[in-house]
Amino acid sequence: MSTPPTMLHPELLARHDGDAILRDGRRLDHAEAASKPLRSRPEPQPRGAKIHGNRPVDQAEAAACFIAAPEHEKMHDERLWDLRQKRDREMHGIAEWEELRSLASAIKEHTLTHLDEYLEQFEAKARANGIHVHWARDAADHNRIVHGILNDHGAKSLIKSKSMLTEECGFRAYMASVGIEVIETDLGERIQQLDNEDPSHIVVPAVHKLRTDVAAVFSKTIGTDPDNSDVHYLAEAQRETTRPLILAADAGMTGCNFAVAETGTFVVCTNEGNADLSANVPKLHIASIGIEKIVPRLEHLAVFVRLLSRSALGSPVTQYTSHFRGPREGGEMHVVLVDNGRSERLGMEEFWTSLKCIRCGACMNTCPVYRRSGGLSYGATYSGPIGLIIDPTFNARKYSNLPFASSLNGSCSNVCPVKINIHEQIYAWRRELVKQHEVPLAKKAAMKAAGELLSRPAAYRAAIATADVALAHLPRFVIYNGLNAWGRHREVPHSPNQTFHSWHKANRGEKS
Amino acid sequence: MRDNFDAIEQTAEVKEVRARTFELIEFLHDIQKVEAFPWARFPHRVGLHNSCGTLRRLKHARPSELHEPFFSKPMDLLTKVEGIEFVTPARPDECCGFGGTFSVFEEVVSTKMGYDKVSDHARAGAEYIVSADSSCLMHQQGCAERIGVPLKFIHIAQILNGASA
Repeated sequence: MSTPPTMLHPELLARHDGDAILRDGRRLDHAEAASKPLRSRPEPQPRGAKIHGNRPVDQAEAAACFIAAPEHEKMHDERLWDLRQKRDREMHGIAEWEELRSLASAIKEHTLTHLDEYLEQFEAKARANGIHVHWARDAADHNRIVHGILNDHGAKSLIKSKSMLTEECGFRAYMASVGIEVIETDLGERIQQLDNEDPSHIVVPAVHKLRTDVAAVFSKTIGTDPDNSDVHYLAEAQRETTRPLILAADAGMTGCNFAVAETGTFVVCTNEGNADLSANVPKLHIASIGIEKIVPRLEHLAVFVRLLSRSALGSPVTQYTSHFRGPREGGEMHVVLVDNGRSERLGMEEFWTSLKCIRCGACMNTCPVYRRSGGLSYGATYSGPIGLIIDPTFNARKYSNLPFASSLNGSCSNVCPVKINIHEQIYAWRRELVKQHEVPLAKKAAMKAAGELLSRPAAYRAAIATADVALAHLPRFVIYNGLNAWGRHREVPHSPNQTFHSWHKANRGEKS
Repeated sequence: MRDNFDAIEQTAEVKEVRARTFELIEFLHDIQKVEAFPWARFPHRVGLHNSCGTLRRLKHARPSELHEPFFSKPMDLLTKVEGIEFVTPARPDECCGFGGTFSVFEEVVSTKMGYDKVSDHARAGAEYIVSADSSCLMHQQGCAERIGVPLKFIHIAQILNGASA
């Protein structure tokens, strides 16, 4: 899915500058006549987390870089908050919203606890519909299977719609390594592909970019005017250059939002209609489907389709909700059912319900940390709250810092349309990572010291008293220095005239 | 205490203490059912800050994400204080960024959230931010002072107890 034009942040729209337009419509751009500088240099786009192999991703560092780019941070925060507000408005339009959430959660939990049966049912029905069904144990399996299908058809180019599963599988990089050209057809995803960057959000993949960033990418890749960052101009230029590639492609690929066991059919939701292009223009259609995407019956779609786009973008429904039922005449349809760690996750007592996720991104839109950090700061396929609880299942060491990138405010769990207790799982992951010795020493030492202080009342009171006296008398440079993470960007607390303990002792006697 | 104090042996005494531990607002609102604070007068414009723990865990109020009827226990209590006036920030229940260890492990994001929070209250015209959570207040005060937002901070207990300013 990507964003319809009405949802563009004002920052993304071209500024109307009537004074600087000549009568023939050309921009007045020579310095003497214009009262403003020719153009100010746009703020460079902050890039995401630095990845060093298997070493823990430093989300905090990357987030600080994002905040150091105030135009990007402000646009990102406001734009996603706008989506959250639109979601709230849609929610208030549906009296049975909370019942829908409970129902969606119950359907998903039921399905996940009977996953084997529903998957086999789906496979049988899909085969009966004339769909080829493949099973992939992991990312490598998935990529090999798709490569094999493409080879069988001599396909050299593939158009695809957005799919987080293929991101998970490192699919584009693999295809590049075997010499098959992949063309993303979702506008946001295409921008990210041309910029050689991962999607920063699971629904709006280029949401962290200003229109000036897009102009820079397009000018380098598809030859647009680097100084023209008008959204319609850029979108049109992309369309013009991509359409011929779409029309000439040998094969098409989509992801899947819901796969229906009783019918052996699947549903893809988009706002641009690009999944339909990808699936219907070439004769060969391959769909990558995570095994958790199954719902038992067609009627269950009614619950999820009502929740999905309202939660994601605050729109009542996606522009296109396409049902794929089988190959068209003379065509072929393949489905690859991918596990890639899902079975293992299903066996994790505290974390299996993360598989209920329908990838709407509502938790990201509401997350105050995500909005101020940018999705690329997480250095992982899944960012934001849902990423914090899924990523460590892929690599506990590499993503060991992520569960700490949360204030545990709980807003994510409240907006989740399938009621995943996201913030409780974030907390559970912190404990789990400590158990697995994947928490950096500095973090552990700080927590241990605090724990010891807090468990000894006398020591705690003495420390408070000492600190209060110290803070009141020490010179500023002693309190505020690089070692004081509290005081780098905020003032330290004022010392009270009296602590509650000393007041209580004086006013309520010894018995307490 | 009630929800998470499970690391030590759960003796009868521990269970007793856990069951009888209440947060101040719920104690005044649900147990004592205080009807009036005749001694309290606070003629100021205040922005109410519900901490995430009291809002989403202890359920002091209806969080904005849920489709449920509005209620707010701290607001119920504060409206009984003479002269008090409430202002509503644009994002009334967004986290202020304290978050315990988060405030030091992710200090840049944490303080940015704090700056945004106090600016939001200031834009709404608040003189005071009032909260039932001293850690949120401590963090927000530190943020406000650093960026020069002229707000004052006060614990809800102080207002209910008759503090004048």
